[in-house]
Amino acid sequence: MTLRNILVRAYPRSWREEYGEELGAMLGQRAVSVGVVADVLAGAFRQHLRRDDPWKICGAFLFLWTVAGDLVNCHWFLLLLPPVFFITGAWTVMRDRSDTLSAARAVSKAAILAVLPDVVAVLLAGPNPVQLQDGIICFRWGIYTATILRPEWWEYFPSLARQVLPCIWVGCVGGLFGRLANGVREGLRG
Amino acid sequence: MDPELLILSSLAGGPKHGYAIMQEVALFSGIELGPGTLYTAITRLVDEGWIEPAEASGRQRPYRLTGQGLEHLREQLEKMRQLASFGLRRLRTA
Repeated sequence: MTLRNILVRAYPRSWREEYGEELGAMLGQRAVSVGVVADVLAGAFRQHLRRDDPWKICGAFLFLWTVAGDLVNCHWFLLLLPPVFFITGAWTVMRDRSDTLSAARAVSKAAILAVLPDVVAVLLAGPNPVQLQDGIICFRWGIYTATILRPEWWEYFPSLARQVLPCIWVGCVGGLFGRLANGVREGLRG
Repeated sequence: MDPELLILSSLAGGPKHGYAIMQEVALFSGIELGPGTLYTAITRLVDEGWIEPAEASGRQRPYRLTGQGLEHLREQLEKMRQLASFGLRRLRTA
């Protein structure tokens, strides 16, 4: 695969179907310098923001964030989850002009992406290295996913609802904010 | 300068494909638009309905201004003209 193809593939699929061939042809007509690569990648990033579902973008960000948190073993990293869930919910409702339920669905999907690194970490490392963080609004589903496979962890199941529900609620509050913003926007348009 | 305005100005002279737009913009403004910047702007202009793809002759589709795009360009250039004449008047009295 050539550098030109890699650059074109950095764009969302729906965008590539419309403009990918043209961009590829243009890149073939000029030298691809470092500046051109940076410019094309920045363009790809902007198109992902415009076209992708908010839960994918927020979920991917949280996925990387969780990996970073796991690597430095720093639990305050989890405190970023509520604001990102709020943004996911608000963004979903504002972009699609949908209802609060769609915000909850989007946040649930983003949450699954966010905890995937923990699922892998727990499966690889076993339950002992992970410290449960009661009282923090954020959570680690990985711990509970591992519970399914490790019967000795079943005692932690009751904590699941306590830690999961607040996260979904934060997304729903974001969704309500999105609906309010949509209403204000439509009101301003008259 | 706004890449979208540069593209609209270039297309005011007739339909062009991406590479030709890039070359003409560099010629009349001295600004070299990168491919990513160019296609980000083209995507937005198409979404706004200010330009539209014309019949493709090769791998690159030409784009042309729509009536709405022409109107938008005229408005923007008029605003820039007013701003420029105001600024120049102020400079003369400074």
